[in-house]
Amino acid sequence: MADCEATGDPTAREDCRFTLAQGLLDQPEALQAALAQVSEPDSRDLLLLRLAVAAPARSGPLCAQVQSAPARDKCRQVLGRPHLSTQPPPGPSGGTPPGSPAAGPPPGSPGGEAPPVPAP
Amino acid sequence: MIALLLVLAACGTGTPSPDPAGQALAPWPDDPTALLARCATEPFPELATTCRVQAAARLATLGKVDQADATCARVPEGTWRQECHFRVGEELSQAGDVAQAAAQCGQAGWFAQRCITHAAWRMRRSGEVNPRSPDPALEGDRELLLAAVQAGLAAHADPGVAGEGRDVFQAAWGRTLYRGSGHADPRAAHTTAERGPALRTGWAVEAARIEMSAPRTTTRTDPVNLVATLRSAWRQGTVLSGAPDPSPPPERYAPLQIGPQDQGVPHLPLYGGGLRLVGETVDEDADIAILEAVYGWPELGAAPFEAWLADPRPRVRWTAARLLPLAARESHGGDPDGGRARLDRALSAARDPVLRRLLAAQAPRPGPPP
Repeated sequence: MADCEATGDPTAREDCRFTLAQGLLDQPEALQAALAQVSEPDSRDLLLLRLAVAAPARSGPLCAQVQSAPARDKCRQVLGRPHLSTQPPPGPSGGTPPGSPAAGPPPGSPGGEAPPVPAP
Repeated sequence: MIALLLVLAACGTGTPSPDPAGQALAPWPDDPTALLARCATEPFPELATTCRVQAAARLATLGKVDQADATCARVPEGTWRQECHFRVGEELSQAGDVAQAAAQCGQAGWFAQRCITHAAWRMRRSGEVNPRSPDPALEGDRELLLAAVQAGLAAHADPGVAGEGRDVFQAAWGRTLYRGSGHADPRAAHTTAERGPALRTGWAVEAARIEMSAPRTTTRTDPVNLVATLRSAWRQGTVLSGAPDPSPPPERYAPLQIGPQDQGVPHLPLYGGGLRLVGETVDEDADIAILEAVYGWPELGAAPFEAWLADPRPRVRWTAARLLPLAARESHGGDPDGGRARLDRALSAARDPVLRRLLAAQAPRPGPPP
């Protein structure tokens, strides 16, 4: 993160932080250390939000650290849609979601689905 | 307004914003045109993506299908493009444009089946057809809807999606016809046609709502009465009437639960993602629909299902055996005999192995009796 601070352009600085943090998504402790180096609250929230959108499966712990109300509101667009965290299994057709006919219901019968959830 | 001023300021000067983080986090405007303008100036691709998804959903709410679709097309391919079509499909269905909603679900990729579920159960219909309409009008409405759904979903890579969409939308059609109308007339549901199971569930759900909303009945003090009242209305063709409710609160729903006994037996999708067995006759199917509808009311506890465990018709007793443990576990003080005691009694009496497995599958969590 220290390298990013030398970047003069504010947008480029945010991008630098994001690129660095994205590379640390699989290293929780290193990611936390990097986040702690971002002193401006809005920049930290922006970084957390961008990471959550880029990796919805990890959005829970990321969005839990967001501080400002607007950032929390934008995080809900990810958190309120739990299917975003699901991944199709490898295969030519991409598979079908859990609860679909392939996952259980008898042949010739319609499949089930996750209960409707309110839109964010 | 502040957000718009920030955007305009950034655009007007042509220079980078001194506070891109603050600008990116500023609340989005409600108006979709202003929101799209905001998305266009968003310097961070992740936020531009979610901004466009939100704008597309709002455009769909207003029925602006082409603009919503074009907005989704500007979202990068993959998870968020599929999510965009999912959101648009949901909103269009709620706005009454089911054909376009299905077409959007057809573009939702991995999320298509979830999109179908959400769109179907949120579906709004014109109200021109109702359960009192002549059979040809009802059938024509159903066919029109299902043709549109199948056409919309035909392009999906998974050929099973269109068939599933047809089944779910048909079930939701039956529910939408009755639900909240305040008029549970069973006559249209006394049919052997394909639409029958969906209409029977629609009728049973509305009949239960009407009875449970009526303070004059004894249903609340004797929960078994609700089943008896609905069965009597069904057999005699009695119309149950009550106050209409354009937006009735959703009833409790059972989770999807499939076992070996379901193999080769027809099912009807239910609100919430579950499935119910379809009876071998119209009357048997009505009994199953009634039991499923009664489960929607947690205050009735597990009592309404107990007597049905001994029903000679396998599909009826299996339905009761699936619902009783769920109701026992989730009863909220409305079951004076105690859900656990009721379940223990049912388990010790059950001889049918399917019944025993179903009853044991959802045993209540350990804890004090309700």
